[in-house]
Amino acid sequence: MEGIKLIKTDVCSPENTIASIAKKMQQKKIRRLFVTDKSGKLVGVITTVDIVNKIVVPQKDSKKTLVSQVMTKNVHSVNVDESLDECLKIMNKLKTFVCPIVKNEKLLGVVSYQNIIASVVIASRN
Amino acid sequence: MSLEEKVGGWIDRARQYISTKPEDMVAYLRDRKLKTYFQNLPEEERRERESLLTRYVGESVQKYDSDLHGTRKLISKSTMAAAVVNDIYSLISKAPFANFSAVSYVLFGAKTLFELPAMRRYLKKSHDWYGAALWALMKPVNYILPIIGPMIESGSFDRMVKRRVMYEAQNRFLEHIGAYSEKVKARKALKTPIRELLSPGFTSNEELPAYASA
Repeated sequence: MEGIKLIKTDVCSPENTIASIAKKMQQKKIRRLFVTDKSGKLVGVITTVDIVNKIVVPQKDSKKTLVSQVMTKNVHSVNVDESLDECLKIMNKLKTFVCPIVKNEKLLGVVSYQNIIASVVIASRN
Repeated sequence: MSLEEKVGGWIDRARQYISTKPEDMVAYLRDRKLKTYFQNLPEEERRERESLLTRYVGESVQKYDSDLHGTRKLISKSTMAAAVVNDIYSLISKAPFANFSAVSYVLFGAKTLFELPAMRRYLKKSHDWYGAALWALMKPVNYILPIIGPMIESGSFDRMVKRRVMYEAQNRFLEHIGAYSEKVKARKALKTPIRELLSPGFTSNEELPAYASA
């Protein structure tokens, strides 16, 4: 079976300001940041679309707005003991191409649609 | 190969395909579907594989045994025999065709009605929705075809169960000898816990442009 390497994800805290994470997203060329609390528990996700819709368009002050005010809570994630099938179900349901993987509610990383397909195709040919 | 041998081969294949006898199912799987797994083997191993296949077919037949026999089969055979007679008589008599098609309709209806409980039991056990859909879709076609239609329809349920029996036996056989089909391997990969698939370390997509990052 072909192993899967999770994608290392950048995280931020719910107390960070939007201005600070926007800078981070620009520097790292990423469009989403997972939000974790102090214990590493996944509590939300914030995307560039959230920033555009909730900060830029309503012309809110990004230096005063916190991530917790903008982020999407209750992120769908898959436990490391579950199968890739569960990831595909979430991706198909939410029409996304990534799925966060957690262990004891703590974020381990992200698995992409591409990772899953590659792994399954290689497994089927071996 | 002489013409006689060729024709004999075709007849054998057709008999194996149509027959619902376990020994014919084993022969069909061994000589056709799983041919490559019986070639170039020592005699002992070949016999071992054959007995394994026989056991799997036998167990699957046992599983669907209640669906293959009973009143359903009797009704099925008798109604379709009546439908064949009805079709032949309609061709040689001068009576209006509508009368015969109405009789056929009743016969097909009765057959289907008696098959429904068996179909329900069968679906519960097998989840063979494809086979069931094919069984239902072929009914109008068999109803329209004169003479040959009722003949085909007569064993349609049995053939559906037989296909399932062979499918299950084939999969178990392949699984036992470690030769999974690509489809089965892919399905297994998808059902494996992520924990077992994880490689150490991470990949990063920092070098990708924002529109391509995960």
